[in-house]
Amino acid sequence: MKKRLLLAEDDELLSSLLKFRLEKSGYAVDVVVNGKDVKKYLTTTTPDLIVSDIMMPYMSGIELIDYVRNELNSKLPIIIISSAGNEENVLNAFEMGANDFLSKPVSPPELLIRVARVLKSA
Amino acid sequence: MIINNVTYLTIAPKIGVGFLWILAIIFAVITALYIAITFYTKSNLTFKLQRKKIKKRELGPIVSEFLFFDEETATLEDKNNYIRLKIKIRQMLKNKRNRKVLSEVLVELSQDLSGETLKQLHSLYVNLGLDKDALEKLKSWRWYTISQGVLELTQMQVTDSYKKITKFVNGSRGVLRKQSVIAIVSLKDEGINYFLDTTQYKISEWQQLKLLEILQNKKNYDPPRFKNWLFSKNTDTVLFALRLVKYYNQSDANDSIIQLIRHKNNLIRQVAIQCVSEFNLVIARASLKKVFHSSTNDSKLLIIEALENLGFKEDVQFLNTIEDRNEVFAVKNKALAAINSLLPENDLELEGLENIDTQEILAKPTKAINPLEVTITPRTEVEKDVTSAIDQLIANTEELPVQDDTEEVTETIDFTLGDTDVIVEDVPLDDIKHLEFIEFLESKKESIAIDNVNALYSSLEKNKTEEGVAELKKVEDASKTIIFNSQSVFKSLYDVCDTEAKLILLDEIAALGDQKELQLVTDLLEAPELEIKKKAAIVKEIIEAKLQLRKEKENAVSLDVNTTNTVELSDVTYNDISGPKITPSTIAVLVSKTALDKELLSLEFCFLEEGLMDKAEDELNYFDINFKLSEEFYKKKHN
Repeated sequence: MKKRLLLAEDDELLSSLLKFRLEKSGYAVDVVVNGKDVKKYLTTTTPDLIVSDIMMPYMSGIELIDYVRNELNSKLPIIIISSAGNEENVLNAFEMGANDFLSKPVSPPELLIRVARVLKSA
Repeated sequence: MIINNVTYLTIAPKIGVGFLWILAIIFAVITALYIAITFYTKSNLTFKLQRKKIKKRELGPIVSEFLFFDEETATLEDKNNYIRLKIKIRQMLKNKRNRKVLSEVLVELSQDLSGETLKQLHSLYVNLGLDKDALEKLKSWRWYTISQGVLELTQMQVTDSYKKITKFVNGSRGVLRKQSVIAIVSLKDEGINYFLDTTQYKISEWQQLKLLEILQNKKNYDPPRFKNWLFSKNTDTVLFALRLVKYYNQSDANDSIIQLIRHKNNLIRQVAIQCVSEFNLVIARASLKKVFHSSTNDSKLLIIEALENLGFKEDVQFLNTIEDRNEVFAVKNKALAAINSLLPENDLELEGLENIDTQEILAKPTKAINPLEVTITPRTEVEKDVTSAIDQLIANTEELPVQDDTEEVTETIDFTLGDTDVIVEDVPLDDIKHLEFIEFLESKKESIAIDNVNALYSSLEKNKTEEGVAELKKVEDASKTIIFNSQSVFKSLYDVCDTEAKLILLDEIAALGDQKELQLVTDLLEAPELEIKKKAAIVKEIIEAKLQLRKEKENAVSLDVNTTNTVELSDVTYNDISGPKITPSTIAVLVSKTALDKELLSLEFCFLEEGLMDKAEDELNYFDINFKLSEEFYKKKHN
């Protein structure tokens, strides 16, 4: 059975490209473009992994982690995508309970490796 | 001249109603057109953006398909799909608008992708022939179109465009010039060489940082020898090259750097000095010293820092001359720091330190025989050092046999009670009460304390020897020579003022004045000016009220103190060779001057006290010390 991933990314071009690459590697990928949709999605579906950009409309990646960990009380693995030079946010993300992070510009093969590793350890 | 209605109508221009209607219609049409055009433009833009967005959504997956197509792992279906898409995209690219959208998609994606995928994206851009469109933009007569083309070619790493972009490096448009420089440095490693060789314009700090960032991000970059540009005719090129030399630690440029210390451009000179320091160019020491006096203060600081870093003790002499010269404080201070660094805690002559003669202090049994507890409050770092030095000496003296002659002093000094009642409280060893006690004493006879204390101290020190008596008299005479100015400090100022200034001065007297000012304002009640008279009367009332309040306060304080012993200080006599009879603790009380007490003193007294304190510090080194009454003292009093 395919692992289901939630890709939260407001850049449509990048999300389309990453979705394509992840699907090509055998994952089922759902894309949402803002924090509101993430919350809506999580009320109905529980993915195996969340890949989220740290900067999103309505809800940042950090808030998303907080929501998942503290409100949903879920140990759902989360990978954060952050801009380079945003180390403070990355540290915050790890403190909040992120499982891994990836810096922009993204290397799709690297994302695949990290996704596989996180899913394996989850 | 009065113009009636008839005259007005005859001279006014005749405008027909029809003409007015025409004008109104014209303006209405213009307004309508304006609204229509604005609406159309806005709609058109929105429509274009929407269409572009749709087109991007359509092109996104196709680009992804091209990017991640792997011929080796692809199935037959994938290959068919790939070929189908290739045909589709070729068809699409025949449309100029589609080409533009696709270029935008690829440029946008290039910012979010890295690694192998980015390389594939770059080759896809070239394979689809989109670089030709960008190169075409370089031929435009609009500078911003050219700039867009340069930016696109830079982002998509089209190295073939390098040659075409170089012609804009010395273009007249600043933005285009900067864009081109970034492009050529990004596209090829030799781009920086071309730029430094040919640039004629100023290179801004931002541009330098940006170029350095590009060079930093280059993989396997072998920088050229930047010393080649250290003597360029463009001073900005020299400065940038020098910074690059420093950044890449190119130590083969030492001779050039030493020469650049003498450069007229201050920035170049400063960077050269920094290079000297960083590359440890010992041979540059002489040059640094030569240019020192012709340099700006910033450069001087850097030179001193460089000399400090080079670490030659021979340079201390030069640094000493800086310290002696009429330089600004920062430079002098830096020189001192450098000297201290080169000769740590050695040969430094610090100003403001008291001359502590160890032998002298050891010879005087002052500390050893004094049973009072002494608290020294250091005010500055220098004083702290002195304090620690004294502590050290006290520690040393403690090891010596201590001669306890307190009893002797107490018995032999004949202390005569006079008119002034100084109440010595049998207080416990409590700081608060102790302070109250001191305050009370000060409030009683603040004016006599300092004179007497100096004398008493001298007596205590000399301990009834003839020498002591002579010294005592000397101090007494000195005290007598100090004349209290019974006039108000405002008097001299008042005498030279005009009426308006005098009124202002009276306001100040009302705010600050005391007994002496009271005398002044009383005299002013007879002043010839009526305004002054009135004002003086008011001020007099204010001062009197203030003095009354102070008196009440003093009384309240004195009531709080439980009086057990009374000592009169005003008539302390020194006739007896044995000196006045006084306990050390009483002296301590008189010596202690708190800030609170000081506030209550008149201005003249503050100056006098300060003078006496300074004198006492010089002679006895005692008056900066706060004493506490020893337990022993209270026990004796109690018994």
